[in-house]
Amino acid sequence: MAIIMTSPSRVIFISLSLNLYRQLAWTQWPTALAPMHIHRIPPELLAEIFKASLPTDDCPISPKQGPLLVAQVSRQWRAVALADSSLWASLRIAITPDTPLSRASLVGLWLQRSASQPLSITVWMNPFANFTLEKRTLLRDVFTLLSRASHRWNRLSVTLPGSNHLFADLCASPPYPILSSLSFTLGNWTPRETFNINTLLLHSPSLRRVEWSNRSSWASFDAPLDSGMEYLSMAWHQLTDIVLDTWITLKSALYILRQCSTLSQLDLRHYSYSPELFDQEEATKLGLFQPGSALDPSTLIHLPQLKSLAIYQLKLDDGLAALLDRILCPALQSFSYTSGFIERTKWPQEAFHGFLVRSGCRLRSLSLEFTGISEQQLVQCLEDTSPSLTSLEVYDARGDICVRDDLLDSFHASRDPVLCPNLDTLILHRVVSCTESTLSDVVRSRISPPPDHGTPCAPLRHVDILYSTDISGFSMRYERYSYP
Amino acid sequence: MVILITSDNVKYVVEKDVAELSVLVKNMLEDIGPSDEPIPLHNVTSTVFNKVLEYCIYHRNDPPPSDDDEGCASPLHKYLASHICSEWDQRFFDVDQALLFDIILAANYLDIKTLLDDACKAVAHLIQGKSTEEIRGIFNIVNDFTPEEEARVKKENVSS
Repeated sequence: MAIIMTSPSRVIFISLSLNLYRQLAWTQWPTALAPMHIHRIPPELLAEIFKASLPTDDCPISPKQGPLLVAQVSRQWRAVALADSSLWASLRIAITPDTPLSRASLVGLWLQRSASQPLSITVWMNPFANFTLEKRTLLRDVFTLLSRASHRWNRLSVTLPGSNHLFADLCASPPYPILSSLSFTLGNWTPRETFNINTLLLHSPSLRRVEWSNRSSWASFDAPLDSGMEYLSMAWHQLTDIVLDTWITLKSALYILRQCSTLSQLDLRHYSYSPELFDQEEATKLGLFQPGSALDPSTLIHLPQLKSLAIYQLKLDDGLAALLDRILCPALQSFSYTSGFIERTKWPQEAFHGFLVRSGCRLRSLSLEFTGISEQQLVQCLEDTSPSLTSLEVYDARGDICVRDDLLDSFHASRDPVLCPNLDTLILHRVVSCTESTLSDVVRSRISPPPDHGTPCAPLRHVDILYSTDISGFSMRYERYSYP
Repeated sequence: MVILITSDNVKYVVEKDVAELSVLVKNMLEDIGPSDEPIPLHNVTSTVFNKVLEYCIYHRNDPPPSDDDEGCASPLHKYLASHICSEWDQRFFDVDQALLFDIILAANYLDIKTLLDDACKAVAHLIQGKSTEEIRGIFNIVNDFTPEEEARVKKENVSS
């Protein structure tokens, strides 16, 4: 027992009498006479409640939420809301066809109320929308106001149509001394506007996180295009977190990674092979395979702090193996790979296995989606990562089965050694063909592993398995097993 | 064990690791050193302290949030962490407003940050998605703006 009460009867009596009082207060008192408990809360705690009520993303400029909402309730609430500048430190400005031109004045008021707070700013407009003169005027006004507070930008996220020469207004007031996170999502952007964006990049000494998304149009969502990355004056060496949601070739990726000694998280959302790899004669002529050159496979790129690596490819191609063959990531904890389609290229198990063994990393999370990995290859992956792995996710939808009874059974808590004893999350979608009894036995043994029996196991906390009971693997009908 | 006495003179004998979730108590214990002297909690009644203790005992083994975990967590883990609320916590804060605000005041006095944050979130939940009229009704707040002030607030919101 943690508590010993010396006079329990007294406590119960007080508790009952207070409860009775509350019941009376809420059921029988007229509303006007009901107690106003919130008035007992001092302003500094009321401000904490207001902060807890803010949306989790940047606060949209709306009278229906955030500080504008609470500032309409009463004089006291308004005074508290206006006095706490941190409530106004984040703002989201959405430019839609319905956005009034007067929005700019509210942005000015919001910035004024944020006093000297570091700012988190989101400006959003459909990146493929038509640009009217009215919207251009509004955006320019908003950007001019934001630009005046550029010394307070801590996080800036901009989504808008590119190639409209708007960045001159946004990037007009360098430097940006505390800007640490920058996100650009641009539609139909061309490198003609590089100059203004580079002004921003070159004067942001605190920049650590960059997300760059550049798409040509919805119709060519996944079509290769000139990413324009090479035109950006990015200080890659100071970045710890990079998301590149644009067409990145092996050559571009290696060019960037060679400069990223402090990188912690890398997310390549449209990674692909380099055409150079397939024209070796041309590449040799250009010196790309020379020692120390861009594609030299014998020079490993050491990424000592990389913890998370996520790669998406439209089509699984030789670029994945080529990248894995050239990097060393001893601190890697999370690896995620997703392929849109599989054509001729097989899952590059040799390169992945070599990468894991060479890196000697203690992988905690492994997610493979639409890889076409075989059971034998998956077993090797799991043996490579078995002691440290806590989360395994494998997805498919085309009947590529890679988990059958034998592999499932090796997870059973009574096996010695048991595969992946520290798993707490197991998600297998449409990659399992097994007997129901084996699945049920194995999962139950891992949800409540028996104590003092072989290898100690961590209990599974989250299980979601879509499986087929047709062991031939030809059936596309799946049952679900989930926990909790 | 630590002896704590609430403002209504009820004595509690509490395990040290539970008591030290309160920074106030932890600092007092460090100041007075090894002693059997009871520690007075002037601003907390036993009714409220029962509730505070219930929270501290349940959360005594919670690991402190780690930047490292946040950095390398998979998208699934991040999703689960942000969307799954503890049912126990939901039940714990399902109390009448008077007690909820008493808990906030006690958590602030005792300096128990996680309890203060969670209790503020519970009140914030009553605000989110509501209109100003609904908020006034929930907390029984009188609209005390003068007509001029009300007009100014409305004008401010027209541009939003």
